[in-house]
Amino acid sequence: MTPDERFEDLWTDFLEGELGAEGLDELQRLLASDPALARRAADLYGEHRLLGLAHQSDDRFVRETVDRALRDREGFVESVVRRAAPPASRFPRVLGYVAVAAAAFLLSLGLQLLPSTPPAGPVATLLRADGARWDRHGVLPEGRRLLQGRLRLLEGSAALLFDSGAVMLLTGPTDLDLESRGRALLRSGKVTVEASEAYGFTVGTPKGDAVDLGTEFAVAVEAGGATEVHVLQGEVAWERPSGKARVIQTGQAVRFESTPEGRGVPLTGKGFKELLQSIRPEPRGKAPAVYEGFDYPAGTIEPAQASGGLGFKGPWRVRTAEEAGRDPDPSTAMVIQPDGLSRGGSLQFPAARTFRIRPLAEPLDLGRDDVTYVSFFLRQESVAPNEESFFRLTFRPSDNFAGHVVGFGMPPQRRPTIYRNRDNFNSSVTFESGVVQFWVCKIASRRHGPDEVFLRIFRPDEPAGDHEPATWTNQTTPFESDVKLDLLVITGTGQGRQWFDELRIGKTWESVTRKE
Amino acid sequence: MIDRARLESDLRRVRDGDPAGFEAVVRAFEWPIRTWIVAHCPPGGDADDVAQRTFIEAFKRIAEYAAGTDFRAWLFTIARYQLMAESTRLRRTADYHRRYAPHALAEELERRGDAAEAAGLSEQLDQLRTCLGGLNPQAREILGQRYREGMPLEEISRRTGRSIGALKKYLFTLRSKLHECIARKTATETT
Repeated sequence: MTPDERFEDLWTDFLEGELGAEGLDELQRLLASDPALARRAADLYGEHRLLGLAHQSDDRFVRETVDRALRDREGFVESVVRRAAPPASRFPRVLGYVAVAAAAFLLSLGLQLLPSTPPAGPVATLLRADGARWDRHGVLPEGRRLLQGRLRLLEGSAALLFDSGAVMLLTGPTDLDLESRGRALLRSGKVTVEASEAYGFTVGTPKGDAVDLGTEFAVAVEAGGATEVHVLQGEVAWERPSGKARVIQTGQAVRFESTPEGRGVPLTGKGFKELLQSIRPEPRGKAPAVYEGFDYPAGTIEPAQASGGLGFKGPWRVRTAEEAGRDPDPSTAMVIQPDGLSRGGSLQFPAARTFRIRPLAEPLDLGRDDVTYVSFFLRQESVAPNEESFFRLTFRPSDNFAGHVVGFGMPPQRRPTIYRNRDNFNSSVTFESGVVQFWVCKIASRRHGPDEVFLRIFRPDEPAGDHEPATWTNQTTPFESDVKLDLLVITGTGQGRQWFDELRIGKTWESVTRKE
Repeated sequence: MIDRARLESDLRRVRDGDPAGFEAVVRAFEWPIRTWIVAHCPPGGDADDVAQRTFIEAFKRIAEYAAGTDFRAWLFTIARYQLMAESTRLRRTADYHRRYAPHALAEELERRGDAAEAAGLSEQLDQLRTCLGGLNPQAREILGQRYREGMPLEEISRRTGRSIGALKKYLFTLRSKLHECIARKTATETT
């Protein structure tokens, strides 16, 4: 078979969604080895999608878009009001109007000056910090999403996880520009990078770019611009705007100062692991702030009797008549199974549609700069394909139960979903039923700027790790909200039984994933 | 060609909260935006969802558009941002490249993310429609089953009496023919 024929086979299976992992690897190798073929594949792929468009001649897109925009109008009105009127303002009404008009004028002026600049997006996450003080931000919480732009660590040390998978360790003082998920510009200071999962990660410096070729390396930039690159493992390509790239090998260290070629210096960088271990997480929040282990007597109990755990404002309850509308719960009791998924008991959902609600002592406030992690265990009985269960855990506001939601779910098609109001974010990965899954969710909120929600599901043989992952099972696109969510709602639907256990809500990855 | 005065009038209606104005704007830019997003959306992404988010974001932020400036460029900036967000979301999904997109293809698609070529893409869509019209009825029917109705290959195979292997080969041949037809038309129009 000629390479062209092989490409034809692989490509057709790829477009039909029938290409397995091995086939995808083979296709990747073919495309990577032949740039012309990669260009042809991109042409064919574009045309394949245009074919889909060419076969749509009805009004569906316009109708759906207008409907969706109108449904979202509430959010539009809220955002305008939020931008125009400071929430804490208690000015007399006339002064209030003046303030609103002035804010609107300044806003429009600013936007006219910068009409087409997209807002800075999140590109990295603060994994750990030890005594870290940041310029402009002060202290940042673990898990904080970091936007593109300048980041200055004044003192202490920290570990950043770029969205490409590269981990960067910083020691203050360090002055950095986060340019993208795969590139940072080091203005001054020292960083150590581990980028085995992020081939091509680049640290720019005033003297040139250090491009990762699957490795660990350290880069230091002195106040005068002199730059050193120390390769601890693997290889680094050193690239300058003019001149040839060179490869720096394991164990080599080069100082670039007065000559573009640089000169060898002794390797002094500490190993990545050693450095990472030396960054001790801040003492904040090692224990969860909310915990429910369903440590209740086995059997059937009324929700009002289930008032254990930590961090709640009251016992479990079913929906009120107003919350349920025309869809009342068919059952009101809670079934506690003695041998839980982790320890103590677990909550068993009957084969029906049930909602169980518990008010939180501290609401999740999306209007605040904060990071909240949520974890729990879930097992869903294996049943016939058309009888698969539906599980959802959502957070809602008690003063607008149906209006706002952030949540996580496993619908019958078994692709985990994140819910944000009326938007559903479906994962590309399917999960089998019948086994105990460990779910870890992250809600990263900002007072000003984008919020994001993430979900990672661990199968029984997967360790959760000691810090959050670079890749998630699912995540939302950035959105803006300042809603306060004070109700925890868990919902079970379908013919199969489901077990839910060991709910933890905390401020750090460790607080919700640590084995007791 | 979009009538500029008409567009500004529709945008004023959108600012006043008139859904009909918004609908008119969506109709005016539906195909340029959809073709551009479809051509650049990474495999596994939902191009129509990204296009809808683009219009909805424009609707929400219409107060930020400076009247009389280039609305098309403003809208494409939003589209580019929405596409970036979708790409980031997909890339951070576990096993993305192993499940959906070889790196080399994703990178090549990403390199093409320039809104300036949107006009060219709209022309390409028109050319594709013309080229489709030049195929024989049976070929058009099979492509319609595959792309309009989203039928699985097994079902098309059952209906047409072709084996799945033969059907895959036929689809590849049809796509290649269309590719060549578009290339010929592009060459004719540019010489």
